[in-house]
Formats: sequence, structure tokens, C-alpha cells
Amino acid sequence: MGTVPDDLTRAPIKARLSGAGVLHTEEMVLNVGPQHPATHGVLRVLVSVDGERIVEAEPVIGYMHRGHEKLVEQRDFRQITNLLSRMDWLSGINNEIPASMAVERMLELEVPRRAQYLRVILAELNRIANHLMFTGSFGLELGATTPVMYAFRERELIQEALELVTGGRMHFGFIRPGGLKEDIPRGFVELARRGVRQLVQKIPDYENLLMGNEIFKQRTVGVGVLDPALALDHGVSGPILRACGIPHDIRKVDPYLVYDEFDFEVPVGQQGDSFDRFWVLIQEMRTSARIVEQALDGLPAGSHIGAVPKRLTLPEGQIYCHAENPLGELGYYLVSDGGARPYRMKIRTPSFSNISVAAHMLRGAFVPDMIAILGSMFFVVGDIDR
Amino acid sequence: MGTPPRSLRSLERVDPEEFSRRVALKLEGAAGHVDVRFGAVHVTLPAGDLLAAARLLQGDPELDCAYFTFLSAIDWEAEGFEVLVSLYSLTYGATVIAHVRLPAEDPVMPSLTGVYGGANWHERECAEMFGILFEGHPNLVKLYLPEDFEGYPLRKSFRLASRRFKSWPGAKDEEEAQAGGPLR
Amino acid sequence: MTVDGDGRQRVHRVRLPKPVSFLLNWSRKYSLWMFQFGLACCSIEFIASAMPKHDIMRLGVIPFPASPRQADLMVVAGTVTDKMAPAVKRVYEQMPEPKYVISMGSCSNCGGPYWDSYCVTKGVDQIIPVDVYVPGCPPRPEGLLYGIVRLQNKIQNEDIPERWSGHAAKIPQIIGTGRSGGI
Repeated sequence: MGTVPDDLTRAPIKARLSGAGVLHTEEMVLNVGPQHPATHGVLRVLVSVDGERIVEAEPVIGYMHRGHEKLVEQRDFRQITNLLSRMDWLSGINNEIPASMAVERMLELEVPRRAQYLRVILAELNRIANHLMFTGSFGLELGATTPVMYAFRERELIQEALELVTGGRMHFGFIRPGGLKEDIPRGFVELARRGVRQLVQKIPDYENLLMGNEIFKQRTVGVGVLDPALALDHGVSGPILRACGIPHDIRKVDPYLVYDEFDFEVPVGQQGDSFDRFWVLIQEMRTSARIVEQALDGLPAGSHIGAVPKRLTLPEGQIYCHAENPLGELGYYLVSDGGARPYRMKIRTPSFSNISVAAHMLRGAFVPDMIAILGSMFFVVGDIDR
Repeated sequence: MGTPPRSLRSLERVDPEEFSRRVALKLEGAAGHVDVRFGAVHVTLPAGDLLAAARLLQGDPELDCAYFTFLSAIDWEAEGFEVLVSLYSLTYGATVIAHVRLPAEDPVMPSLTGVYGGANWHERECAEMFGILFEGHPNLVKLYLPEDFEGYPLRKSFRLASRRFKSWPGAKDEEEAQAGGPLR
Repeated sequence: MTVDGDGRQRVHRVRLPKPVSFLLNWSRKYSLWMFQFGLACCSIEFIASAMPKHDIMRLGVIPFPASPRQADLMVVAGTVTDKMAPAVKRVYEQMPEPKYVISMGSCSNCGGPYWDSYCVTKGVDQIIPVDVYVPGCPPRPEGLLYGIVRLQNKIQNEDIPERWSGHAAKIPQIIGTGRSGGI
């Protein structure tokens, strides 16, 4: 190779190599996002790397901050559901339910049993659609392009059923205080049953395709382990918390709607790594399918909405109403001053708390693992930023 | 119907009334300001007692509020701010919401980041939305808004610019459209 | 090309033979490489349009290029916030000419349900020029496909020298009104 001329920039390296024997490196700050093919939406992560290892990671949020909490103060109690549905855009029905529940509890409105059953059916169908999206996208981020096609095939079936009832594929505006906007049309029960049955048949496909894949296992087992104490400290909820081994599901510990009438098991993981989070997601689809079938079997006759005053004005007071969103605990702290609009509505979203632990989880991981970890955190940026 | 539902409720579940009595007992200073509203225990505290109360709620095995749900505020305009801290006990299945009143000018309170790590982001959001200062917070910079944003959006004094010049557009567009006017 | 009195180069109008311009436009409209600037809910419907049921590839549009430097078409799907606006502009500038923009959904058309928000850019056309607006909240995948078809018609009828001379006016098309040009 010959001697290296000293006036070139190689000279300092040559000196260091001959001296200490250790290669001198510097940390580099890498900016991932906000527009990036592999991060889910507009999340920006400032990563300080030492070679391939992450030293510090800081998620920078706010690129989807639309000001929901200010906007709901300008709209009345029925109009807010349309806006609230757009936070976690994959779980439209689940976002609307706690808002109506808060109004119903403050006004002590009676909700007919048929409406409660239908709400559960729609909510669980939406949960399945949400989990299918993450099943597909997690595989896509790790390089598997086929599962997302399968996932969307099933998602289209679910969206067809939801569209038959509500007219919308993603944002519904269907849950009203007191019940639902309309009753279900003829043909919905068969369509929902068929969709759920097909889904349950196809779930083993997802399990074999992804969880049975050696590469997937090597990329996710033991990667991104979340400590349960840290999770509780930060208010982590949903599948991510249950993957750590903590059996906390609001449908069981604080049942709302008619969840206490159904027989279902909530999947709980063990390690808290990416693999377990994904496993919990797949098993939750089975649980939701079971709930939908039971609800369709036992659907009572009756009205789809109770007796609701034409103009909704709530008495003065404050209430915290929470529900199990597909991503975790969604809560609305509603403050009313006796008017037709919320005086203040604090929206407690699951992804906000879930991503606040991302900095701790990414520390010490490799850069490719960052994609596996962030992909397995199952967040929606609209839910983080509101 | 198959196997009976496996309950995730802890066997030590306590009902809200009983839990509020426990809280009132342990936090002697706040004994007169504990009540139950809609199934949650509400505690009103002065700002100076918040840290000690939070440590007690977290550390005492009979309260065990290890889960940090959220922290936010309400702007009561002339009457000041009301900061809410919501905690949850997985063991006893109880929600505790602490209320702290702050003055309208110069609202300052101690930060909970030393007790609950999750308070970090919530306090940052509260600070940028309301202008409340959390003493002892390691990194109280803007969370959501761009660096050059002026004002505190969630304060009642912050008016939405679009609303000042334009009323709710639905009816207006319909009337104008029928008269042959522009659609926007 | 000539140099005028001020020393500036000017592109003169050149008449391209019709078969040449037809062929160039035809090949460009059926080989769009679409950069998805998926911001919010509309991006989910965008992804659904790329999936087997709606299949945007049958229109010649390939969904996922590796970088904006290789893309011809940018679909802004979702709410553009004031914090995100500089990034949108920067990505648009990274795209090579000829480039087209479709604004998908009401948020990027005009602010949508967030018309009164304090931190939302009321319409991405405040930052970048838009060719086709697809209304909806979110628009159905079929709506986006129709928007692509209208864009393809626009490209087919494009005057290439006019575009390169810099005198072409950007006349956007709004689908669904049936007024701005037929198919």
C-alpha cells in the first residue's frame, strides 16, 4: 500500500492508531423523521449514536398537534364527537364512546341495552381493524411486505361492515349521548359474522407468517424490553402494558357498556419485549372476535337511543371517564360550567404516555432495533399530539 | 358458555368511599377536602403540600397509587388555575384526582418529576399551554408548539383568530351557495 | 434559446410535433412514482388504495419510492401543521421537475375540521402549488384513484414547452364539481 503522506487527513488517525491502539470515535446526532418511511407518521426522534449503538434518544413530538382541547371548547356536546374521532384515527368508534359516556353519566341518561350491545359490537370491530393495521405495518417496517396485504384484506371486510351501519370507513360520528345515531340495517349481523369468522380463520396465517419466522423472532425477541415499574410510573396502558405481564384492562377492572356480561380472556404477555407486544396484539384480535360473536348472538331487541333532551346542557361539575381504546386507556376529564359546550376537556390519550417511555427503551439499543422497538410501540401520532 | 371470565380485578379491591376515608386519614392536612365524585376520589391540596402527598400516595402500601394517569390544568380566569393530577391504584382499583389551586398571575408549583417519571411530559405540556411554571422540572421546554409560537393557547384569554373573523361556516356557505355565490 | 439585452437566457416557444408531445405525456402519465407524504388519517386510506382491493398500481402509479428525489408525484395526505409546514416545503423542493402535487383530504385542501385551530396551516396550497384537490374526510380510496385519473388527463393535455418556459399557469382541478374540464 505504500506510505501514507502526512499532509493528508489520514495522518491524525495514523498517529492515534499507532499510539493508543483504540480507534477514536465521536457520537453523532442522527435525525430520524419527521417524514420517514419507517416511522409511523410524523414522529421525529433525535438519536445520539456511538457507532451502531444508541446512546440517547429523544422523541420530538408536536408535528400533528392540531389543538383538539381548545377546539372542543368551541363546539357543543354532540359536535365534539366528530373532532374527537380524528385523534387516534384508527379507532374512530372507541374515541367517541367515552365522550358520550361522560355526558350520559353527568345527565344520568338511560342507554337502552340494545344500544349498549351495538356499541360493544362496533367498538370491538374497530379494535380488530386497528390491530390489523398494526399487524401489517409492523411487518412492513421490518421488511415483510406480504402480511400488510393480508391484513388489509381482512380490514376491508371489517370496514365494509362498519360502512354498512355508519356510512363511514374510518370516521363515523355514530355514537351519540343516549345511544347511537341509527339502528343497524338488515344484513349487518350476517356481514359482521362472516367477517369475524373469516378473520379467525386467517389469524393462524399471521402467526405462522410473522411469529413463526426466524428472522422476525431474532429481530424482536429480547428487543425493547419494558420494565413494568417504569411502565406504571409513566402511565403506559393497553397491549404494551399487558405485554409486560401486568393484567390491566379497563374492560375487566372497571367495566363500562356491557362488557361484564361477556366471557372473554385478556391476553397477558411475560417478557415485555417487542415479540410479546406483537403476540398480545394478535391474541387480542381473537378476544375481540369472541366478544363480537357473543354480542351478535345475544343482541336484544329494543331502541337504539334513549330519551335525550334536544339541547344538551350539562350541570356544573367535573367527571373523568375512561375506556379501553385499542391502544390503551383513553380518558376524558370533562369540566362543565352549566352550558352547552365543555368548559374544559382534558383528553388523556394512550399513545402520549406510551411514547414517553420510548427514550428509556431506545437507550442502548442498536439503530436497526430502533425501528423494531418503535414499530412495536403501537402508537398513532394524532393520539400523541392531539 | 365455556370457562368463567377470569377477573382482572385485584382481590383487594376497595370501593371509592372506603378509599376516600383511607386517603383522608393518611393526608391529615387535607382531611376536610376529600370527596367522591362519579366514582373517583377528589383531594384538594395547597401547592406546598403536593409533593409530600404524592410521595405518600405512591409509597404507602395501603394507598399504592403507582400509576400516573395524567396531569393538566383548568383556567378559571380571574379565580386562577386549577391543576389536576390523576393517579390510579392497580391494587385497590381506585382513582385519586388531586386539585391544586394556583393564582392567576404568576402560577408556580413544584414539579412531580421526582416522584413520578411520567409527569415529565405532562408538565411540559401544561407549561406551554397554560404558562404554569413547574419548579424543579429538568427540561421545561416546549413540547408541541413551534419554537416561535407566542401565547398560551389553552388560556381563556387566548382567542382563536379564525373564530374572530368568521362565524361557524356551515349555514353561511349554504345560504350563499343557493344565492349563486362562491362556494368558499 | 436566446440571450436578451439584460443577459438573461430565454426559452422561446417551440412547437413540438403532436406525436412527440403525445408520446412524452402518455409515458409520463402512466409512470408516476408517487411519494406519499402521509401525515394523518388520509394516509391510511392512501395505503388502502395501494392494497390489492383498490390497487393503485393498475393506473401505473407505484406507491413507495425510497426518497423524494426519485418521485414525480407528491400526495399530501393529512393535516399540515405549522410545525410541519417547513418540512413539507423542503420535501417538495427536493423533488425533481416535472413534479405534481395532489392534495388529499379536507385538511390539506383548506384546513378541514381544523379551520379554527391555532396551529394548523389552512391548506397546503399556502405553501406549495397543488394540481388536484381530492375532497373528503377521509376520501375513499376510489376518490384518490379518481384524482389520479384526473391528474393523468391533465398531464396528457399538458403543453411541455409552456411548462418549461415558466409561463404556464397552474390551473388546479377540483374533482367532484364537474365544472373544471371534462374527462
